[in-house]
Amino acid sequence: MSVVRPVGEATSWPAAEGPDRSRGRAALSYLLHNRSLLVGSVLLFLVAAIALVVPLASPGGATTIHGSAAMAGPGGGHLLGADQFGRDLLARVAVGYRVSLFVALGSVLLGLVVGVPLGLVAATSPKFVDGPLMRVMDVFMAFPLMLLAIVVVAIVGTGTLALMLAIGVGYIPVLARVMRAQAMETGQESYVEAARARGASYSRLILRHIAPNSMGPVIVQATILIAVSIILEAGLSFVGLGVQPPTPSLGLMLSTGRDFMATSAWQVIDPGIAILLAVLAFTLLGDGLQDWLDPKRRVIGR
Amino acid sequence: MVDAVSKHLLEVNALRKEFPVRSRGRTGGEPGAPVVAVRDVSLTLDRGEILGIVGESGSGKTTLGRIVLGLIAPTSGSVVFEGHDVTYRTPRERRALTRDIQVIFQDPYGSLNPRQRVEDVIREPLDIHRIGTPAQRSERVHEVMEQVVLADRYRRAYPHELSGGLRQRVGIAAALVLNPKIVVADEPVSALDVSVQAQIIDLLARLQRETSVGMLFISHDLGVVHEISDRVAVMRRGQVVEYGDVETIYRSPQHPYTEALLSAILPVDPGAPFNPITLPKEETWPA
Amino acid sequence: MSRLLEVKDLTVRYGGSDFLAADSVSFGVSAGQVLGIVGESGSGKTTVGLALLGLLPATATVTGSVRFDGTDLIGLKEDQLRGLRGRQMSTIMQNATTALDPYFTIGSQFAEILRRHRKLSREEAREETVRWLKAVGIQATHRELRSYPHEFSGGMNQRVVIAMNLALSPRLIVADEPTSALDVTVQAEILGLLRELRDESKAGMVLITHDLGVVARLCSQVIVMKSGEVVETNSVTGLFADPRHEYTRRLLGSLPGRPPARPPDESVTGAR
Repeated sequence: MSVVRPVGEATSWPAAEGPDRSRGRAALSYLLHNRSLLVGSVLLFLVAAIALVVPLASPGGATTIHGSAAMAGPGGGHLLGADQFGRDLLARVAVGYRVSLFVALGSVLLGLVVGVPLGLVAATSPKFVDGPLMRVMDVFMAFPLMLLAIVVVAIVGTGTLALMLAIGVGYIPVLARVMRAQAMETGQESYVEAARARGASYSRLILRHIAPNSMGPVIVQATILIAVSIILEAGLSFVGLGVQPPTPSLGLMLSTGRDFMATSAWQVIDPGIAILLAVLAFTLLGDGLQDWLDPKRRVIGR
Repeated sequence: MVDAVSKHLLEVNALRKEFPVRSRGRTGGEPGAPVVAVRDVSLTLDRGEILGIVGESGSGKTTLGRIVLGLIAPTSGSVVFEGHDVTYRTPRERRALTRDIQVIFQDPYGSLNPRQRVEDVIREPLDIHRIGTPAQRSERVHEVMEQVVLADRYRRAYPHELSGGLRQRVGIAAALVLNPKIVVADEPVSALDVSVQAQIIDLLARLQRETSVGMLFISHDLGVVHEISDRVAVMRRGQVVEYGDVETIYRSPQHPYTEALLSAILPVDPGAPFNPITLPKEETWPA
Repeated sequence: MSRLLEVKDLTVRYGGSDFLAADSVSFGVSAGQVLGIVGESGSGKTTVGLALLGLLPATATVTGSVRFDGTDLIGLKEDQLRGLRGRQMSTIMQNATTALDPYFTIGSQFAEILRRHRKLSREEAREETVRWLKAVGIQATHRELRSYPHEFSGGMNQRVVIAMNLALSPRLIVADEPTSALDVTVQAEILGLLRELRDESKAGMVLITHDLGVVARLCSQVIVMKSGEVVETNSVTGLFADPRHEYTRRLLGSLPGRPPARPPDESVTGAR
């Protein structure tokens, strides 16, 4: 009836002619359909661009005083306006972004470095280890993150590194829990059993088989926690427990800007929207990543 | 302890495996009564022989395979390998035995680590047991890939880039790389397309002939078991209901369950008679 | 064209890839007829099934037509499709247990479906539930009705699904590997029920499977698919007696080790 290719063992390896183009096109098509991932990536790009480029373009711009421009609105040399001292708001937001992202990434990194191994150990240990471990995690998770952070700051003091610790500590049980759940599921897979049947040691099972294949949900959670960090840092700085002046912070800008709201709302609007954009970026990214990593989204046709 | 003298490669005697059930007061069953997966099973396997273990779901055939592999310990009974009782193995013993007793799993889509390349998968048993130098290991991987007719160009491929048949060949290669004495094949072709099944069965038969490995071939597919096995054990609800030479059993089954199983095989001919025998259900709930 | 289902030049492309999951697939099903779609993995048979049910992902590009009773299903909005599902078109899936709602008991979801599609009263629905479950061999006492799908075996759940089909009497049934997940002995029984369904309901059936034995048992017409294309269209007797395409011949020839056929009177238990 119709011409048929020989019945061989169909594989996609080695990749057929023009492999990169076809895979690239498939990836692009997916990206266009996954709105969250698309918008999140665009926003993230925007945020990163501001954070990286602006301070480079005008070094020291965040602290340079332009007396004549005090409390100016947007326009004429100051794209987002100026604060009460005449400092350019765009430059300040950019540096504020740097600090926020630094603290956010640092705190999540702390959560991962401690939480992931804990989760792995809990998932692969017998009940008498797993049980108590998770109960300890539960205790920590019972505290609202903000409260926990305040307690830690009260103990270790303020400053960027202290903030990272304060916020990161709260993430440890969260990431441990996600890791544990995923690791337990992965542990049921046939290839893990096959490795066991072949004599693989505990560490090999974890490092080579279970961990690499369980990271998906953990990464999604971590991305969302970055967004949470930005809010927490802004909140702590707002009440004076976070980053201390003269280091600019979006939260600090909000706090000092409050006093000038009547005359120049830009001092509040700018950092406020900046926070919004960053949080939105990471949240959408996390959302989109989750869809991407969900096995169900794989092509159904077989 | 004096080890039993056994001329068989593998012997299992009166194996029993119970799984405790947490009492939950479910409708129907007695809360707390353990599930008996394997009930008084005794079999032997010799060098160069393929013993088929056929049964439907719940027959216990998979549990039996895991007990032989040492992945589960039986509740009672013994497993004797080359005359040594290996029923309860310490982690070190289990490790050592993995060189001699290997496994091929059913699911070619799940039994390979998606992040490992073909050569890593096949070389891993050598790495685990620290056999040979890296160069020697690479050579052995090449050797065994040839044995399973897996072209060398697939060495660096990832599992998702290969078809089911090719993936299963990788699994078979990984099982053979240590030159085991026994291979437990648990539904090795069930997840494959029909045309590929035939190829893999031929491959397994040939490999078995070349290496004289003893094979435990577990499957629910009577046709496949008939094709490859020398002897067969028919299992139902944990027990062996029929055991012996495969041709004899298929031609004149003695047990009504075997008969029912055979009669349920669909003829590939729209005109052929099809009269499956229904056995009286011992329990109507759940069927 | 008075055929119940008419598929013409159906072509499906996923995402941005070049590969055609379905390539110019054409076939037709009349009321009371069972058409088998046979193929191995990657043949496109599942894609065709999804297209029939309107379940293709949003990233798929579809051309061609799938006409059910004259209406093209491609391009219909979700709520229009939903209106068709149930009484006009229904499905029997491979994994019956997951096809049923896990949060409701068998009895209640069966009755609920009857009430929704046939506008029955609570009492009538209950009676019908018991009646149809009995028809497929489930005793339908209190215990059965009050159980959840996960408490039943796959075979029993498949019976429930078939009973739903009998009760709703849809005009088109799409069955995707209805017996592949079942034990051999259970499969034989379910096939018997599917034959009853076929004979009694006068529905048109599309049976998607890789198992030629099932096709021989249930279908009158069959199409063979490979790599997205239809390579042979034939009646069932024609296909098995004299396969026209090389691929079909290979499929038929490669069925592993069927044990030698035994004449019926050799049975030990003296059964039929």
